[in-house]
Amino acid sequence: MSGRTALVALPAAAGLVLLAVAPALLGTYYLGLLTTSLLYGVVAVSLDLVWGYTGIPDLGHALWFGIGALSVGIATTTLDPTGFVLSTRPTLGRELLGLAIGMAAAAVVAAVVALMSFSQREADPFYIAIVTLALTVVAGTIYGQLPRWTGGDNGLFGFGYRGLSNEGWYGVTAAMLVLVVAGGLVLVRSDFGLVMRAIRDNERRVRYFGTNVELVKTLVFVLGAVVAAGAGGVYSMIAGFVSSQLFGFLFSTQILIWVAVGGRATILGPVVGAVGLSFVTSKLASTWPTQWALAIGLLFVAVVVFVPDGVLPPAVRLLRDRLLRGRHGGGRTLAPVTRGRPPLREAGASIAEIEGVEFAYGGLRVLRGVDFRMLAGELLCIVGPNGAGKSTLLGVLTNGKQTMSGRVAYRLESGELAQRGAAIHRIARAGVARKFQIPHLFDSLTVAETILVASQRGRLPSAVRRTREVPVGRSVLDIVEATGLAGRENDLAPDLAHGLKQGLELAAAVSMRPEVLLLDEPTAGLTSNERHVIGEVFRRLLDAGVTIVLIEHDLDFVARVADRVVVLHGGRVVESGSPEEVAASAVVREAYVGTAT
Amino acid sequence: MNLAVRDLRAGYGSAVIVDGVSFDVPEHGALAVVGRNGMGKTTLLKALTGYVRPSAGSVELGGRRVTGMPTYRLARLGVAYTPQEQSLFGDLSVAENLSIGTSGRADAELRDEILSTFPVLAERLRQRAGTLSGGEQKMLTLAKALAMRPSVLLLDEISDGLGPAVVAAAGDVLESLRSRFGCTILMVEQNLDLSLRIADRVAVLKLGRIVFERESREPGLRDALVEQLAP
Repeated sequence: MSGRTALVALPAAAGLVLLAVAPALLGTYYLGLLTTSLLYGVVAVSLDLVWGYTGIPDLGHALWFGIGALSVGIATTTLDPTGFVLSTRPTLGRELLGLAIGMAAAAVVAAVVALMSFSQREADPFYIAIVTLALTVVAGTIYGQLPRWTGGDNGLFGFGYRGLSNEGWYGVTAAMLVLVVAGGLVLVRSDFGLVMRAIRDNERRVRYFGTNVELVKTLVFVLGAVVAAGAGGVYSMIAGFVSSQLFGFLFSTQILIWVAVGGRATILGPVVGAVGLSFVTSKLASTWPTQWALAIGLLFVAVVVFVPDGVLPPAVRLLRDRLLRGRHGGGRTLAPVTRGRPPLREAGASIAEIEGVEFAYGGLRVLRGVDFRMLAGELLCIVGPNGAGKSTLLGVLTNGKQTMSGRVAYRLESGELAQRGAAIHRIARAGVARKFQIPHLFDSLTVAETILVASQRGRLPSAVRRTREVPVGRSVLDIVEATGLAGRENDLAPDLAHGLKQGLELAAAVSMRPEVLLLDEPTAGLTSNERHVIGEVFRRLLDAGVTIVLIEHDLDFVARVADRVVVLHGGRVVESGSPEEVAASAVVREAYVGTAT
Repeated sequence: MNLAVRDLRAGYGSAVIVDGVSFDVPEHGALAVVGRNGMGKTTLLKALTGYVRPSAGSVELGGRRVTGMPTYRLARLGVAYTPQEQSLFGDLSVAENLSIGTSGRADAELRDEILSTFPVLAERLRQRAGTLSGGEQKMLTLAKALAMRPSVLLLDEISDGLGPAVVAAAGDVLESLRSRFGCTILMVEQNLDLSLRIADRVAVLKLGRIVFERESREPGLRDALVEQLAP
């Protein structure tokens, strides 16, 4: 058992033991409370996947729970037009039908909400928060307006399924919780779980690895809704009661609090938060009917002040430090593979044509008609003074969803691709990789995990499998070795020194096995020895047929590695040719030596 | 103000990154610290500027003990720091960025000199800083620190991402600042030529310790440094 597995296995085992002995220790009343609390645990886990791991702030998560609960109610009751319950038919068949319809309805509504909210254009992350918040408020209001279906202000009641004893229901909900927790743990520890975390940490960057962010977010959002609806359905099968409160803002907030208090992005934390808080609250409320709210309020304040990550993460850290003396689990390594590269276009063929590209940030015209082409297997350097539009040009080449004029056409092995209208992930997936000038990495991903996400180049990975040996080509290993990343595969990216972050950016871009590699100052922050090794790596990639476009200030480095140089100045290509030809030009001397003389 | 650092240790959690560093930068002096990536250069500057709390050792500024002093109080004492990663107010204009932090020390002549050193910034005084290019943002970060007319200037790889002509201009303004205001400089650099030009002494940091320190006038020092920096 590895260290990290032990960290999850120990609390999980303790939880299982508690679940097993609880019925023997609790009377009927408290067993009923605990049964409900376990369902809240399921809801909290579903929100943790959506909010904790994928960073989607679903402020109306109760909506999904409510849809599941209402669906069971509708399937088992007969109402008069004013919403009065005339009769109930709580047969197992009808109850389960209601549950299934409720989960399906939640999936459909969640998919529609996701499609509306996660747009290809860089939507404000708060958009989904506002949409879900509005929905939960609206749903609570509409509930009272549709008495024919919902029972109106009285709600639906009396349809609880009577074929199971209290202990039986306890067993069902405990099994549900165990199943959802186990499934959740497998999912978040899988390669797919890495993509979820990458999206949470830096949605923009992961698009440039080819990941269809909208698709992943939609899948997780729908999954969260379906699981919550399942819990809601079972809840109303037990309670035999649905009201507008199950949809409402207050309940949504409670779910958020359970997750936050227990510990976001820990799966087990939200369970502890939900089960603990809802069970303890009910117990307190019956013992001290007035003072309990104050006690809970103080508890929240204490958590926010003293353990802002929630209660579980510090406990786990303590366990880790005691048990493992601070050793990190993680345990992913980079494994060299020699794969036949897909055949690339023959050297010298035109691989991208850039014609008359103009681009402005608001009123500031940065590119004023850029023309050049990229040839397969060449190393093209773009040089020019600071502010000439070099990084902006790379931005245009890799994102077709911006307002611009002119034309960029790729002729890649995967086919022809017009840049116009193509989303970032489509261009990346077609084989165009980009390294940013300033490192943009993922706060919770290690070096090896970052490279793993990049190397998938947008293929959706398994939601079950956890890759321990990340397969990478020799060039990636050389970069890792040369920039000092070797031995740090399990270090978190934000803990790296600046130059190492640059090395990781470069290694991640190369690990995508791109056909075109666009590198914005890949040697910035590297020492001259490191630059030398990187130069050799470039040479080998070129020999393999990769096309490299470099933005670079170090003219000695340019002279050593470049096949062709394009000089950008004031948003236009003012010069192009061999490194020698360009070095002699007046513009370059002015920009680089400081004087035109 | 002179800067005296004794047996300084700092790191993150249980990881010790700066492992017993001592050096002196005399008043109006300049020391360059060079080293490979991950050797602790940036952490050293962060430990001196209050971003990372030193776990041991002492830092004295003009004879006053400032170990672990919070960043804002150090800034009031005249310590300016240019971090390697972005530190601008992206929604403010270039001019506003330049005037922030200069309260009471504003100096029109210095500001003109800085702007003439970085003409690009002079052209874009009213542009939002966040819309500048990467290199221009580096220039503004440096210009902003210089405009504070600092007594002590801590520079983290200012040449990174700047074109050679701009690096040369930055070197000019640093020299001028030193001669006019007698500013004390501690710079972390990859660019050996800029280090040798600005600094009186050069130190090599390896695994959190200073393993080599020389006068920058010393003949053959550049080659010796290249050798020191080899893996």
